[in-house]
Amino acid sequence: MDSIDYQMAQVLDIQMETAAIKSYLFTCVESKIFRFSPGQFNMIGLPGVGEAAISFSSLAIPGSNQFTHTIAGVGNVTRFLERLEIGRRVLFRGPFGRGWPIEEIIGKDLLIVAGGIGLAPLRSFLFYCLENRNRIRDVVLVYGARTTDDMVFAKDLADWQARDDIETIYCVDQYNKESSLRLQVGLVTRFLEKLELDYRNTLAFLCGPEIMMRFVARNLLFQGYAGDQIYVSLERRMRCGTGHCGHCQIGAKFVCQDGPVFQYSDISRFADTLL
Amino acid sequence: MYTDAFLIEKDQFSPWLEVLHQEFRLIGPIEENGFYTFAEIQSVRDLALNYDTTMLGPRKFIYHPEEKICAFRKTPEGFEIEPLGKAAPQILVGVHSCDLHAILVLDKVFLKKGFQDRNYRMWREATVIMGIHCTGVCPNCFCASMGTGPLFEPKEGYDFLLTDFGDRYLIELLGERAEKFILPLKLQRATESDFKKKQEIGRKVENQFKKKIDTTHLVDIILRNQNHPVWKRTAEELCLGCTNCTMVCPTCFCYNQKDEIGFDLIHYERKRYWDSCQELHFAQVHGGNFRFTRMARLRQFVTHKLATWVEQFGCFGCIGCGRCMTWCPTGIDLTEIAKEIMVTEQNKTIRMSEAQQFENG
Ligand SMILES: Cc1cc2nc3c(=O)[nH]c(=O)nc-3n(C[C@H](O)[C@H](O)[C@H](O)COP(=O)(O)OP(=O)(O)OC[C@H]3O[C@@H](n4cnc5c(N)ncnc54)[C@H](O)[C@@H]3O)c2cc1C
Ligand code: SF4
Ligand code: SF4
Repeated sequence: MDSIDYQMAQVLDIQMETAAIKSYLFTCVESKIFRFSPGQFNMIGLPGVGEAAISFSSLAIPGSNQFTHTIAGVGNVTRFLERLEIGRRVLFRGPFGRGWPIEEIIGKDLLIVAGGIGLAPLRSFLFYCLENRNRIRDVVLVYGARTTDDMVFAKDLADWQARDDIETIYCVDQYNKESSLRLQVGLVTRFLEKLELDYRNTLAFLCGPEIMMRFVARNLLFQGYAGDQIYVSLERRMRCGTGHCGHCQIGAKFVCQDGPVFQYSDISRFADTLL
Repeated sequence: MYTDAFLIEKDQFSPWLEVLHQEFRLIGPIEENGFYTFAEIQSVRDLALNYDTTMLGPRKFIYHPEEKICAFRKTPEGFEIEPLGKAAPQILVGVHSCDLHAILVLDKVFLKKGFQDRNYRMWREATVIMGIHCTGVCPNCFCASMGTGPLFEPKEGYDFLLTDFGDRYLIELLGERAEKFILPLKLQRATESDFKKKQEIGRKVENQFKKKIDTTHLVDIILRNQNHPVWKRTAEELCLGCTNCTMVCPTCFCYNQKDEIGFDLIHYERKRYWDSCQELHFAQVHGGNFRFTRMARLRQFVTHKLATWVEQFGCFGCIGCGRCMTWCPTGIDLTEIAKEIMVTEQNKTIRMSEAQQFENG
């Protein structure tokens, strides 16, 4: 596999998530099939602008060449992507990285904790879990956002809350607007201890600001979870995605290739994380 | 793979290189302003094969300080990716054992894990490498401690390997490419006694090292002591954040990327250039910086070279060339940092065994 394998993708649809976040449905221009797994990411961008690492927020559909990215405009590349219109083309490389451990979830209880846009890579994972619902035990989703306005994937959140085979806890730091969702006020960590999950049979999946993952992971460890039952998806600066540019290194790990999903115990042993 | 060894008279060696020079770019150590440096050579006479060390290793001719990795052309439908230029065939002459090891390390980084770096592969394949064994040591080098010298032991990574026998060289060959080049020369085959002589030279050099480091428990010791006071003190008292260490280190691989746009707004080039974990921006992301302090950045360099590299690539990231400390404006020496940590560990063990003795009675 070569480090520089570009593909072209075209924007098919755009969905507003929040004032600052949009979801884009892309289709590959040249290839008929594009495969990826939940938790992996693309390096996506445009010549003259650069590239940014963006997770898949959708689940790959067998035989399809479509995928969704949910992007927050925070800098050069992402602000440029923010201005994309339907029909425009971008270049991407991918899929990269090791995603969520989908082989491990059979027969387990799942605790999914997301913060803000961190729900994006967990959304595809949740879709996968729901497709395989009968092979797993309890599923709990705890999703936190700063305000009601900052919650992404409103339609999915409502769908999940309406189902009886998944328990949902949605919380905001500030309840600033009426919402049709059942919301609670407080940080995600507040709700973790009340869950009726058997920690001995539960796997936890975390994505959000690293400081949030720190408090969630430590809370779970305190409850009795082992470090290798907790999975975290990390974000680092990345230029290549192929394990060469060195920016994403945490100790002996390349987040782009060995991650972005890690077992907590495997990554928290190194310096320079907030975990 | 083909291997063989011959003896080549020195007055036969230069004319042979001249012949190869007609076909290849020739790169080797030359003297410049009182220092040695790897440079493209105009005449074989300029080669200074008895050089001690250079500021930059030959890395810069395989993994360039800045290079184009891709070119795009804008079309009405989107973008076309333009074919890249080829690498120029070149011979690297006079690469010391440490730098040969550094190239093996870079091979592991760029070629031996999941993805291959296309530019590196292109230049690596176009490069014929002629190593040469050192006949002395430099004040700062410690290859013997790192297992990377003074004799180059692996049977990979080079085409030729020279050992200076005074009026002639022992020339060891590896691979068909080397065989093809040497064939016209009709040389005398090396014997057992020539290899003995090479070993003797190696032993003589080995006894001269001033700088040493014990690597037996190095990885564990460094990883166990990520909060040792030496990091903060060295960083705050000495480190200027100049990035010299990572620029001169022959195994540093990190790069950054930038896009350049042609004036026609049709042609785009993507370039990469050496980056350094000593730069403040290196681990910066939206909303924070994972190595905001100079302490964290210095610790990353030393920990990467002496510890985490081993888990990543199965070898040390430091090949003991001594360049980082030579070119550090304040003389920060990673072996001294490691030794300070080792002393603390030793004291700890002594205190613990004393406590044990006390308990036992
Ligand atoms: C595995 C992975 C998955 C990601 N998934 C998503 C996603 O689904 N949606 C989304 O909106 N964002 C995602 N990100 C974050 C996204 O990559 C960054 O926001 C983006 O690279 C910033 O680039 P920029 O050019 O827009 O900003 P820049 O102009 O480069 O800089 C803006 C700020 O972002 C910092 N920055 C630069 N590169 C990165 C980087 N790779 N990661 C984080 N910060 C960076 C800069 O230091 C600066 O502070 C992901 C990152 C990773 C590593
Ligand atoms: S860390 Fe220093 S001594 Fe070791 S290889 Fe790099 S430059 Fe040479
Ligand atoms: S992280 Fe630093 S020390 Fe390690 S290879 Fe990159 S620049 Fe060199």
